[in-house]
Order: sequence, then C-alpha cells, then structure tokens
Amino acid sequence: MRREEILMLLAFLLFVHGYLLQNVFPALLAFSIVVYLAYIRSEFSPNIEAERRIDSRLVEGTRTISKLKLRNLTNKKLRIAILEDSLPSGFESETPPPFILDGREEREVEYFIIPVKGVYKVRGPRIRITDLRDFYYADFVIDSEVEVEVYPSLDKIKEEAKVEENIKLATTYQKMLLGLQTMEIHSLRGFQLGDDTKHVEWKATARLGELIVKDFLREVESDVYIVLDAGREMRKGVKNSKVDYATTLALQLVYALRRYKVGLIVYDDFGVKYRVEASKSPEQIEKIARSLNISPIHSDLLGVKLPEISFKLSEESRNFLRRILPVFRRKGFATGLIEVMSSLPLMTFLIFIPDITAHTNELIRVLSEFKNKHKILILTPNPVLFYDESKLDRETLLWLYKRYIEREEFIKKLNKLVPTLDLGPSDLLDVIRGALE
Amino acid sequence: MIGIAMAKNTISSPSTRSKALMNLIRHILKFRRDLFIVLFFIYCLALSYEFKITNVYDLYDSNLITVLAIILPSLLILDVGLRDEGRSLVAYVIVAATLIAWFVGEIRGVFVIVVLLILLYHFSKDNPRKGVFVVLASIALLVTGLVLCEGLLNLLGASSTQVVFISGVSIFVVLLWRRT
Repeated sequence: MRREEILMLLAFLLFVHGYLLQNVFPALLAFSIVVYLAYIRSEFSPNIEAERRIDSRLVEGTRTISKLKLRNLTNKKLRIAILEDSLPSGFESETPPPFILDGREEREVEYFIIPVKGVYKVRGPRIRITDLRDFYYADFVIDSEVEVEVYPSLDKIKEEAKVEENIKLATTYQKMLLGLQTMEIHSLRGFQLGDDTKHVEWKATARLGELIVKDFLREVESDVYIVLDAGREMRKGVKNSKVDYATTLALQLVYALRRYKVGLIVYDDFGVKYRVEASKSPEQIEKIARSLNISPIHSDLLGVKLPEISFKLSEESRNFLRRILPVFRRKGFATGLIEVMSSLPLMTFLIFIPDITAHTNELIRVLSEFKNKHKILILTPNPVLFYDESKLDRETLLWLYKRYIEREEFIKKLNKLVPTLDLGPSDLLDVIRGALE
Repeated sequence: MIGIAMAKNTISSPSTRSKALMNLIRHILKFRRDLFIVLFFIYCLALSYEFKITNVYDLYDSNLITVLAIILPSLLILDVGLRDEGRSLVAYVIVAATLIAWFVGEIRGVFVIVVLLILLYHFSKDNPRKGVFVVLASIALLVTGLVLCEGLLNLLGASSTQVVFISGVSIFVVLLWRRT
C-alpha cells in the first residue's frame, strides 16, 4: 500500500469514528490530513532537463562511463533515481543510488555501462523523479538516441586463447594446410613451444646458450582468410547467438595465426559486409576486431524451427517448394558467398565459419566449384548445441536429436568435399586443434 | 541516530554476528518511514478517543486553541517524519514546546503561535506557491461552508451531520487536487 493511501485510509477511519461517536474532533483532524495531502500533491510538478553523453565506440565487457547532465528547472528539491531499463539486451549498468537535486541545481552524474558486442542504438535513460516525502513520482525519459559500436575485447580474446595452445595450433596449420617445408633454411630463431626438436641448430645453441631452431622456407605461404557468415540465421539467439561465438572464434584464430598473413571477410544474406585484406601487421588483430561488430538478433529460433510450429506438407508440395525456394534463397546467401569466393586470389587458405542449416544446396554447389581453387576448412556452429537448456522438454529433446542425426549426415557429405568441423558453444581453439590433428 | 551509530560501529567489527546485526539495522532503517507512518496512524486513532467536541460552532468560544495545539504539531511531526531529515531542529523544538504546554495549560496560546511559526518556517523550505493557495482555499471553503450552513448544522445533537459536512468538503478538496 502506498503512503498516500495509508493517510487517505486514516482520514476515512477518522470520519467514520467521528460520525459514529458524534465527535467533530476526528473529522477536523481528518480534514487537516486531507489538506496536507492536497498541499503535497499540488506542490509536486517536477521539470528537469537532461542530456546523456556516451562514447560511440565501446569495447565489449568494459565498464564505460555514461555522463548524465541534469538540471532542475524548478525551485524545489527533487529526489532523482536513474533507471537504465531501455538499454539494449545484454547490456548492464551500474547506476548510482538515488540522490537529491536542489532547486535550479545543475549536476553531472557519472556511472558505468557494460556493453556487449554489436551495433546498437542506446536510448534513455529513464529518470524517476520523486518528491522528498516519497509520495508521488514522475518518470522522465531522455529523448536521446546514440548509436554505439561495441567491439570485441582484444584482451579478453588474448586471455582466452592461451599462448601455448596458439603456438600448437599454428604448428598444426603450418604442417597441414599451409604447405610443406623445403630443406632450404630461411633463418634461425629462438625455440618456441611446439617446434620440432629435430630442427634445433646445436652449434648456434651452444654458442648463444639458448635453444635455437632452423626456420625453413615453405613451399607455399598462402594468405589465410577467415570467412564469416553474419546472415540472419547466424545472428539469431536467446542468450548467446551463434555469431557471438563465431566472432570470438574468428578473433582467436586471427590471434593464433598472427605470424601469417590473415584477412577477414564478413558476408551476410545480401553480399560482402566487411573485408579486411590479409596482412601480417601488428594492428591487424585490432583492425579485424573493429570489423566484427555484428549485432545478434534475439529470438527463440536458433537457426532451427521450433517443434510446435511444425506442420506436415504433402510430398507434392515439398517437391514444389524445393524447386521454388532455392530461387529466392539464391538471391540472399549464394550472392554473398559467390561474391566472396570470386574476389579471392587463387590458392588462398579459407577458414569458413558459416551456418550450414540454411542454404545448404548453395553451399555445396559453391564448395564443389571452388574446392580445387582454394584450401578450405569449414568450422560450423551447430544450432542444436546452442539451444537454450532451460527450454528443453522431452518432445523438444527428441526433435533436436532427430535434427542432430540429420545434421551429422550432412556433415559427412560436406567432409567428402572439404574438412568440416561441427562445433558447440564451448569448442574453441584447443578442440579445433585436436580435431585437426 | 542510535541505529546509524550502531551500524557504523558494527561495520568495523568483522564477526559474522556483527554483520548480521548490521544488516538487520539496515533493513530497519530502510523501512523507518513506513514504520513511522504506521505509528502515526495509531497515534491519530488514539488521539480521536482523547478529545471530544460535540459542536463545531462552540469551538471558537472554548476549544479552538486546544484543537490547534494538537492538530498543528501533529501535521508538523507527520511532515518531519516523512521527509526523513534525521536530526531536525523542528522536531526538538516541537517536543520541548509540547512538553511545556502540556504541563502549563495557561501558555497554550503562546505554544500555538510558536508552532504556527515553526510550521511556516518548515514548509517555506519547499518554496511553496500553488500549495499555499490550495491550503488557504480548502480552509476558506470549510469555514465559508460552515458559516453559510450554520442554520442547518448548528443544532443540538447535530455533530454527526457536521462530521458528514466536513467529510463532504474533504471529498470536494480531494477531487479538486486530483484533477490538477
């Protein structure tokens, strides 16, 4: 019960008491309480001016200062509470406790916002203005909209991808995918974890007092391109979308392969979205991280249709749809993919991170066509493994299992074309390295 | 204040029991204003049993000072409690003045004037504008109504009718400020 209601109830009881006991005093007391409430109500007419300032380029998971400039336009004290309830999904805020703003006072309040990866329009915040007696309040929404780009945190990625694992992974790639070493020595360098002990240069080691290995020239040291699908299916998600996982994985790969010329191509249903040319420069990781500001789409459909919306189609209808649908799909997915493939130089090493549940026929067609022109590896997030555990019931589980089996079959088909790894939300570098070895 | 002092003291001591006590005090402080309003509720109901006025028209001749001496400090206490300003000078003055006035019946008039001045000073911190008009208009409405309807209301045993009339004016005031 609100405080105002308690006082109104008190006034009512006093009137009843006075009427029943034929006593005017309680009625006068009740009247004075009613007038007091009328006074507070009529005095509460808040009016403030507010402006929010926030950087337009933020880093994922980093506490960012949001500055709020407030100005009390009335000559009365107001209690102010900042409510950040219109922040994009996944954002967190550390708002200050309620404070009092004096009449005509101007104050700048600073508090923190913790963003998540993507491009967002940040609205608000909502400011709740309360009178000093906590009887009445008014909500004031700041009419501002700031577009922010939130980039993945490089420090976080580096921390996640342990150096030891990266070196091992790099060695694996070097052996398997980036061409064989020749017998011609390119240079001498310090021993790193993962180097073959056969290549230790003992004379130099004895002279310098530390392990030195021979670095051989390679047959081919082709560019590495990470090709990331940022289409609608990849961006769907409830808590973590596949694209969140895929961008983390892409960054870890870039970091692990930093000794090679690594580039990035992001495409969606309509074409190539970003392209970062392959380079060995130290700024390459940061450059790529800035390109990976892909916003997830929060929905229940994680690239798989929910069982309750399933409906049966006759065989004829399915055949008809099979013929018709690729026409529409080709416009989306295949256009982006073909554009990516045709823009690459020959014999590039491609690490594909696509969603294979959608537009499968086009993917197979493109892979069949380009598998001899490039070295391709597919890393695909499995939507079944990304399903929200809290929503699992018997029916969904059975249905997901069927989907999983179907997908396994499809992965086998893809594996005949190019090496394909099916990944879950916790499979990062070490798992991929194990699978490759 | 004792609660706050205890809370501050217990912060420095690391034992679990102290922390539990500190949390309890924090919770009590958080609901202090709610507790206050409930106590005020009971106080008002108890007060209405203590004083009996059978005719509002006899008020000016005999009981006006007594009624004001009770109602004005009550409102002041209510406002001070709701604002939760902690150690308010007003609260100390009211308590001291009430105690003096309670024991020395002859200076009740002076007490009412002092309370009225404190009341004006206290509410002047709000920088009131429209509120002053609302209060004066409401009181004027009641007084005018009582004067105009004296013929109907100033009868023997008409106290219930007078209560109904005052409650009617109160409802009218409520409706008026609800619309603004």
